[in-house]
Amino acid sequence: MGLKAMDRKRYVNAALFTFPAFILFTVLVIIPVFFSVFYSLTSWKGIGDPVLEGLDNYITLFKSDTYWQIMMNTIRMLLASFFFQVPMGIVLAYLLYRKTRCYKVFRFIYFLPVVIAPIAIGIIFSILFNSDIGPINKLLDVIHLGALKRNWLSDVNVVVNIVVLPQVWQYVGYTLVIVFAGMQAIDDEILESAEIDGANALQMFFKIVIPMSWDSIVVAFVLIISGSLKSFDYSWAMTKGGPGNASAMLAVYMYKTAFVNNNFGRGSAISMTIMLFSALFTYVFKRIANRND
Amino acid sequence: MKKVFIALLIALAMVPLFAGGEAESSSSSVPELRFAYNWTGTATSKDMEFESRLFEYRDAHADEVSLVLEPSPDMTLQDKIKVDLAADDLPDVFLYWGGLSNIGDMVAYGKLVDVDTYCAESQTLRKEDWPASTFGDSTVDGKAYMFPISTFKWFPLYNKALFDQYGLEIPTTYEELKECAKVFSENGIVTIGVGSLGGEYGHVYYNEILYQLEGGVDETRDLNVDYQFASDATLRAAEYVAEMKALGMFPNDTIAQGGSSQATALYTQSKCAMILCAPWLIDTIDQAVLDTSVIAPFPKLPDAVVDPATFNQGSVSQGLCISKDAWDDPAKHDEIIKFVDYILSDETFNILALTNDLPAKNIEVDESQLNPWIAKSIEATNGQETYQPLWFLLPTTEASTAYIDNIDMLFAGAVTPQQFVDNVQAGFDENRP
Repeated sequence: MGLKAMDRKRYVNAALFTFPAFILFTVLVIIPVFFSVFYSLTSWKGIGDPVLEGLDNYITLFKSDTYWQIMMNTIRMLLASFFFQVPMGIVLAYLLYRKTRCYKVFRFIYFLPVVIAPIAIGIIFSILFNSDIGPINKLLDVIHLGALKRNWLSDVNVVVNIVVLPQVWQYVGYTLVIVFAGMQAIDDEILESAEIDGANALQMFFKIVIPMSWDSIVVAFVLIISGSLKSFDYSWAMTKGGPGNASAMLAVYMYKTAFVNNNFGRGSAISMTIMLFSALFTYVFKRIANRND
Repeated sequence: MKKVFIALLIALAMVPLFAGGEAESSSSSVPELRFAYNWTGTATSKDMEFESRLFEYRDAHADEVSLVLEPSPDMTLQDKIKVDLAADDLPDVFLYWGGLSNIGDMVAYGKLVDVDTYCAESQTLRKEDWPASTFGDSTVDGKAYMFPISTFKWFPLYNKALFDQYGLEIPTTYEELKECAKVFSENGIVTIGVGSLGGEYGHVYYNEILYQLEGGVDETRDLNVDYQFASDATLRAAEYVAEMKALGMFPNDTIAQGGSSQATALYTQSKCAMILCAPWLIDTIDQAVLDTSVIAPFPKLPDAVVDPATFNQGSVSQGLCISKDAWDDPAKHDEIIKFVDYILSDETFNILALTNDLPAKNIEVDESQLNPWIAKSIEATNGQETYQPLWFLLPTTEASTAYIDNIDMLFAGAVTPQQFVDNVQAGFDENRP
């Protein structure tokens, strides 16, 4: 009886302490999500009363070539982050983990881009890749690779690759910090034993460090999924999603639909698809990750 | 008990988070007046002078009204107003852009006060204080819903020193322009410093060509009625743009070089020979380069039926709108009149004129005090026909998006002229009533 009373008291206390956060989360997240779901089922120009139209917005979107073109751009950003940002983050984390001197300084330097506003980074990259005045084409000339020069931001065949670059560059440090934290949780004795048994650095990396910090790597992947699907700043700052929609991401398409075209109903539908695809990709990834586990 | 007390304390501390704004206004005895605007900051003398007028009014009338200033720089004001509108929380008075695609819905839903209604109660303002043509952008069913404040006219600006350096004359015909482009390209100089990012400012350049062609003006004045964009003229103008791009007249990267600051940066560095200039760009061009620049008409195309020396592009760039809900609020009504009369006084327009703006209101300005380049642009465009850019004539926001997206693609070489026309027409057709 005494224990039950104590448990009840503990639950009451816990509930009281989480109550403010719960209220904030409900007001700032849950309720707006429900509003978005509602608006996505309506035709609403941001003025007057929304008119319920069922799934029309979703049907129009899924039938639209533009939507799928932009979805492919977004998936390209996701894949670039998967295949460049995470491996680079893991490798850098491992280098720091192997007791690099001044590792705290390096960790700080690698993390530094994360705290810069993405819009500022987008502007810097747009100057770098400006084929008229930027340094990239000039550099290619200097190193006798002039044949590789492109109009990076105007060429519809390459622009989307340029727009995904800053995200990968900026968030490598973020992945590093997450994975590094996972690596630090590995017991030193395990690595020392492996070393005594003759394991080299590569073997320790693949057979011990990666498996034992897998949970934090999965967290990094999951954050990348949601981060890539809602990516807005680089595309908007560098090209406004253009030319046309050649470098637009889903969030840019949502912004243009809702705030430029005043189609808040369809804009809400796009935001809902971002959320749903984010959840779907995360679920699928976690299933695969757990299977490998 | 202690924990419960702490939890309650945290909960109580959160109360102002949800009611902060209300607490302030309910305790105040003077009415609150919200004004949203985008001429803010220190980037240009116009922004500084205009904003300081607002500060003066706020401080001088603090006993009568609580003036809440809501600045949003540049085009972010448009987002702000759209969000406020969606939340049914429109500012009481705000600067905005004309054209059906901007104010059409607000008028249709009765959100704005018309100019005549306001002038009937104003102490100082009459509609006749403005040229009648300046209300064209904001007139719906015979009633104007926006007080025009700022106007603009585009004019071609040539870097004469560059032309002299390569032994070239300012081109008057398309053939001469092509000759100049050949020489400039060989020397790494961009002939025409125009790109297109979000339509800026490729659309002005496209219009400069279009309006010379047969039907270019006549067939596009009723776009918001007939929704007919595709025509021989719109296609031919697109073909000219594609040809000029192929001849290397534009910057290579038209997206990266889109926008005004990029164009004037190239021009200031003498890396391009000509640009289309507007009053607000004068401040951004280096004085030494301006000293060697001249204003001259755009080169005449071989199949031109309208001489480019006889017209320019211009319109009202921004105006002032008044919320109908605020106007109908007895507590705010009189304060709105006092404030709007102040903002639209001759004194404000004089300040705008002296800070490189072209005021929409009829005022007398001491020309000797004007920026010489503003005076020159007025002189060069006086007596010309002024045609509104197509962007101002588009019927819906979707048509507008289709137009500017495809202008970007045309300048980037991502669509053929025929695809450009077809795509824009499709954007019109999608929302044809």
